[in-house]
Amino acid sequence: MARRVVLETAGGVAAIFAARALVVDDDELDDDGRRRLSELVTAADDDHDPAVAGPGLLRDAQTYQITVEHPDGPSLVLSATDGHVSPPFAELRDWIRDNGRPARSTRDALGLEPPGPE
Amino acid sequence: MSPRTHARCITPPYLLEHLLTSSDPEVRAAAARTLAGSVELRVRREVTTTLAPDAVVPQAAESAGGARSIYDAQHQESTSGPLVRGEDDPAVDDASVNKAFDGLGVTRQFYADVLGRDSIDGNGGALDGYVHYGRAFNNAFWDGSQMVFGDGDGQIFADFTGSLDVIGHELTHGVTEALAGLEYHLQPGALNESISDVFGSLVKQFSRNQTADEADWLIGDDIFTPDFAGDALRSLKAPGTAYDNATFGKDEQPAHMDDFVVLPDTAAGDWGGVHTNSGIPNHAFYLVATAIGGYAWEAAGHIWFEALAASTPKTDFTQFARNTLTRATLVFGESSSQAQAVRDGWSQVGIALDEASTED
Repeated sequence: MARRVVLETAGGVAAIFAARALVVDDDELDDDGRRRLSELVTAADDDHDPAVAGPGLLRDAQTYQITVEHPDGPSLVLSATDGHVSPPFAELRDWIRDNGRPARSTRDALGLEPPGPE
Repeated sequence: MSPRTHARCITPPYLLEHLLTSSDPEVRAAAARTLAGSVELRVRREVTTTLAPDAVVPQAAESAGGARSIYDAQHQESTSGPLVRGEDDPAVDDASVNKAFDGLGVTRQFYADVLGRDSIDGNGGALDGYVHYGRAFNNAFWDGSQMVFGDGDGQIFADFTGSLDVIGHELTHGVTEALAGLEYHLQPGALNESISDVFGSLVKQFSRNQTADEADWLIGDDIFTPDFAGDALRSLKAPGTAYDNATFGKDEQPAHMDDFVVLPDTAAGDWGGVHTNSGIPNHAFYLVATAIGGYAWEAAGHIWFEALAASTPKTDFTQFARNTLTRATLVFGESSSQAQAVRDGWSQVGIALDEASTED
């Protein structure tokens, strides 16, 4: 089983329109894509400042959660909230948006479905 | 009552006119003095709206403060970009900057003229806004001290400064924080969202000089791209009908307590569905405003604003409903049509107000 990266977005003034979870599967990328994803994950993890536990004084802020599921190890979970998104996190999130596919279902986002056509 | 600083709240002209008939000569005299002082401002507004009834009024508000500063985030997710238009500056060659500037001006004018509130904090505090935030950023938010607007992704959403009710919505989050500090969780959070929708809609109605019957009662209908024309984020008139298409599915906002949606109090659950369950108090306001008739920002808007000022961080739907009834009763009388409209409005969304109801 290959590495899988999932981006989930919640909240915002248009909360109901928040994009479905986006999924990137390693085995759907070429070598350059896999290498770039690794670089971005490493950079975002090195600079990671976990999202605050509650909304604080933010109103209508979106929260982003990126889960990196490794086949042979623990998952890495990175999160950030509007107003507190680091440049490396934003770069990883935007790369997933550009290269990911919408999860076909909740089971797909959770890695419970085998890869297949959308 | 809230321990926080409350706004000074001017008495609306229609109420002053009513007080001119009071049996108490001191009340009559005070009402006459106040009414005389408000005439100039009111006439100025009426002239403006007559000249351009469908236009956003771009000039500076009659506020003592609330100076506007618009900054350009330059597509970074940071509020450190350069100032591109200040209060006394002319329009610039950037539509987003000008729309944010004008929208904040109209919202400031609404709060000053209608509710007697001088800017967000009630003391003429600065109004700072950031435009061009992030890349393809599908959001607008209040960061605790300023308003932030994205350009949209160009596919579903366009520029978030394009919708006056969205600008009013975000600025109102600051007012709510200053007045009541409503928590952003569960029912107080959904009420917080509803207050922003209510006053965001009222700002738009005020700018268009629309009565409750004429208003569209939509939030965010101007931020969608042409491919999604006709959609809106929310409808106060008919929660659950703001959109219905193949891409997003159907709006599922409830309009009644029977349909209250229980969601987790987490970021993924939108803090208990604050943008979902706001449909219930949103619809209550619509029902009250249309039952009273006329301009919604007058009786209904004042009742809601005073009820907000009487709220605390943990005020829930029922307590807020009680606050509105208390304010309506104090201002208009227990057997007034306005108080009855408040009882009926809340009853129709599943919140019954008994005789023993009291304020926070």
